[in-house]
Amino acid sequence: MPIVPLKFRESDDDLLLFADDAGGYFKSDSKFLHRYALGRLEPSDIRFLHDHGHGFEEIGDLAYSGFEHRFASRQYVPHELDYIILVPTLRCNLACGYCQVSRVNENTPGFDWDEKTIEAVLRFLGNLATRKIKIEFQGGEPLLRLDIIKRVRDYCRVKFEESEFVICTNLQDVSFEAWKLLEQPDVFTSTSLDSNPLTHQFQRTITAEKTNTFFKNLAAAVEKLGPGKVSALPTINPHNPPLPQSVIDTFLDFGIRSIYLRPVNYQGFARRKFDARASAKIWNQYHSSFIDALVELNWISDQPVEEYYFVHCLRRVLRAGHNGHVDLRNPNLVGYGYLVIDHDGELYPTDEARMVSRIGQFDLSMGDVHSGLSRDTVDAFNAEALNNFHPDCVHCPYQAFCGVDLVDDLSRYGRIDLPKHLTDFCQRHTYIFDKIFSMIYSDDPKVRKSLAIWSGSPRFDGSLAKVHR
Amino acid sequence: MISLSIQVEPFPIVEPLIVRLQESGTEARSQHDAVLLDIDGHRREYNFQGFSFVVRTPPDECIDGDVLLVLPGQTSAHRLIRASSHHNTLLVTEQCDQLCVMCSQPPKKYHTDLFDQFAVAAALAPQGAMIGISGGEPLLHKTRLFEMITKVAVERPDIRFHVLTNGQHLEPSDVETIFQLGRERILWGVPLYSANRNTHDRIVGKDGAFARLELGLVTLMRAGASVELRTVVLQQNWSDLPDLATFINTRLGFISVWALMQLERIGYGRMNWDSSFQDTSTEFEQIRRAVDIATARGIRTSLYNFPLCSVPPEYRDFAPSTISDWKRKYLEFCTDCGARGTCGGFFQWYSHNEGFAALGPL
Amino acid sequence: MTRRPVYLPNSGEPIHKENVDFDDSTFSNQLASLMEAASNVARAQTIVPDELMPWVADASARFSYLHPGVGLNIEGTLVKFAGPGADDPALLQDFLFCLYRQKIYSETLIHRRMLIEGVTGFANRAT
Repeated sequence: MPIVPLKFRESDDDLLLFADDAGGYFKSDSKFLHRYALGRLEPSDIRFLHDHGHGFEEIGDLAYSGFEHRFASRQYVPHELDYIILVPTLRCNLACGYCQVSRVNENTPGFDWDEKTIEAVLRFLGNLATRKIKIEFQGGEPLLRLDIIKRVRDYCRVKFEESEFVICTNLQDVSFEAWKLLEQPDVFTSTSLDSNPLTHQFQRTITAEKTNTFFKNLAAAVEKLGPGKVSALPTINPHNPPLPQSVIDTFLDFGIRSIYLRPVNYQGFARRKFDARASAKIWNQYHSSFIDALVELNWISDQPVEEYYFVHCLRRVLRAGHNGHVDLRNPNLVGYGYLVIDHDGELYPTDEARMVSRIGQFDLSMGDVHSGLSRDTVDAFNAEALNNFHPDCVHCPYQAFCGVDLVDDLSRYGRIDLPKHLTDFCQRHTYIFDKIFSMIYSDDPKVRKSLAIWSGSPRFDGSLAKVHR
Repeated sequence: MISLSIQVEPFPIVEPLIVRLQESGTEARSQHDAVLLDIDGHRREYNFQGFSFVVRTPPDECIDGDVLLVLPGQTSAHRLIRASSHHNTLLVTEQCDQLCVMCSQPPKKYHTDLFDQFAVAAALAPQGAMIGISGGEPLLHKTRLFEMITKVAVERPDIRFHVLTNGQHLEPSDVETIFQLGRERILWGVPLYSANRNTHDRIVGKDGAFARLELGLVTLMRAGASVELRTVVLQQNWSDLPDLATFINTRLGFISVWALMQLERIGYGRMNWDSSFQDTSTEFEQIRRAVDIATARGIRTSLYNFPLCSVPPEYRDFAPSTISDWKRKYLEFCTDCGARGTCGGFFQWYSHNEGFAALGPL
Repeated sequence: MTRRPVYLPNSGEPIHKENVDFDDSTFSNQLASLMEAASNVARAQTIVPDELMPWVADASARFSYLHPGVGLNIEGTLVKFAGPGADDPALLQDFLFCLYRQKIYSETLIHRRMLIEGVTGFANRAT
């Protein structure tokens, strides 16, 4: 009976983790590895592999087809363009030290869409084939151009059957008119909440007065709009991170139970100010302690909390077809399902690509909103954006769960061909999957409770941690 | 209990006839429409193409829009489509090549081909209806069945079908037909009782059934079909359920939903009740594990025909109300139950003194 | 700006030079630590089983790529390692794993190509 290719990795319990290209996994010992690698599998091995979807009788039978289906479901296929990130202005009323996007002072002229650009953007939206649209307003601080937001919103509401708007705002200066906008049912608010008031002030608001204003506005937003319509992202400086518990407490104070931890992104103009050397290791340690803190909390709390990206990765381990997150896909084809229209009308496949281009590393633009979309550059890029045959990834048991992020590689190293294990992306994701598997194979009831919550099942069944002996 | 037949006065026909009953004052929209003229107690008289067509039914019963099958010389017509119900099923044949221990509709030897009439009836159903196709084994008459569905699909693109099949007769050559009919058109209800082929074969009473079913499921997968995998929970497969969940994850990730179903005490299900019924109100562990595994794997899992009080609280969200209106009942203690609104209750033929041991109002 | 990755022998940890301007004084420091590490050279050897010999070349290339600080010398079925930490049993195991991985990879490549061709039609990217 043919066995599908298995990749393996040592784990911390003296066993090896094996996984196939469709994401099927199990643990076994080095004796099994020898038998497998040397072609000396025993009947009990073959039975185990067959029962757990790692083998088949013949091409086209149910076992093979099921494997093929799982494999196929793990390959990301872009859908039509239905998600547009708009940057109507680069002006901002804060000057955060790590600002991930280039920004200019509030009063600087020449960094907003002019009338011609606004009209071109509306024309661009008007030519989209999709019936549903999601528009995300970024900046700068988009609320400085409430007028543009309203024009785009009014246009989309007529043009599309369904439209949804996300305003990424620092909630620093919210006028009466702006509140009225945020209160509408198709408008969602996304903001930054850097861990706790102290860190938030240090990293973002600088003065106590501005800090108070922000927290007052955030409280008002949660109150007026409801926690379901407000999301907040903490940006963590891994070299000086806040205590996990203080981050969790701050978010819980605002009723926000899904926390998406993000390390300060050393790109764009931020690298001028911060220590820009790779800090994956420090970050991974912090992230791990954060997950442990969540496990402790979930054990005693009846209101569960999650770290958004960790849960996403966990579900990618357990399930095929969980391709919803733009940061973790294979192939990671950019420039199709969503794109960015910058303050000057330039089109970019992603926000990261915008930053890479802006600081002059590489030009990843896809034309501009006036003359139209040109995918030549990104298509050349996309041709490399898969891990299926990557000489490093083909030996990695996490391949099926993982993805690629060439824009990230490019922005950090100026190249996309660095050995994967030396890249920040690979180091961070190897850690995450190591952590996930150490939890899946843990007997600790606290860990199992959190895994159940995060995987969406009432209990986390022991058979999800198969061991073949 | 809602009756699926209705009394009619003898009508001079030599061929089976499809009639749709329309309320008075409406226009006949097709040659099959009979428009109500008069109600006199139990007697309702309709104008059917200028002839008098009489139905006998209680005065308070709503039959507007119902579609009847009237057979020559018979005074009882089949209510094929009840316009007010979501549970309309066409029993297209009583022949079957399996002999399942829980069969609610034991097979018969002979077949009467009424596919033409069923096609007409389905095309007269209310807007957006989903119509069940059941048997026997409908795919024993595969060509006729596909003809019927294709015909309805052309006339009424809004109509969908829920086809219950044992999957034994699906072949690679059917992929194109099923693909053309479209994923949205048909939900295929296919039973699989165990990942152990011997257990499955024993339950369905046919050697080699599991192997044939595997091929049938490959056909549905390749056709991009929408599948509701159905597993009746029995003593015979009780300990197999967790492994079945693993089997579904590795082989059948394409299915739309996995339905774990409680036993219906009718037909062979009644005959084999003592040796088959698994009291899940006292022992839930294997279902618990099966649901946990499948759910963590992202497979939508549902418990059909489980009274809510037989299910532990954290699994009640998995148990929608599924027993068809015409065969549903509630027990005495249900009167005081706070969950009655969302609970599907019991089959009419459920017998409580032989059934669940640990039930009560919630 | 010069971008030159520099590695400490066998530490698995790159010294990240990518985001700072490359200046010679930093480089001298690194060179000094490299030389200091080199003074701790260790040696080890292992015999490759006959059945794994066809994959020795590929496995050695892969091993050296992962452990650029460890020198490899292959004489028939005898493989000699030299460099800091070369006598660490984990390193020998890693070499064996490289052999296994190359064998598994090459023997299952046909399956992988078939799978990808069946699903996406871009298997020719492997060549």
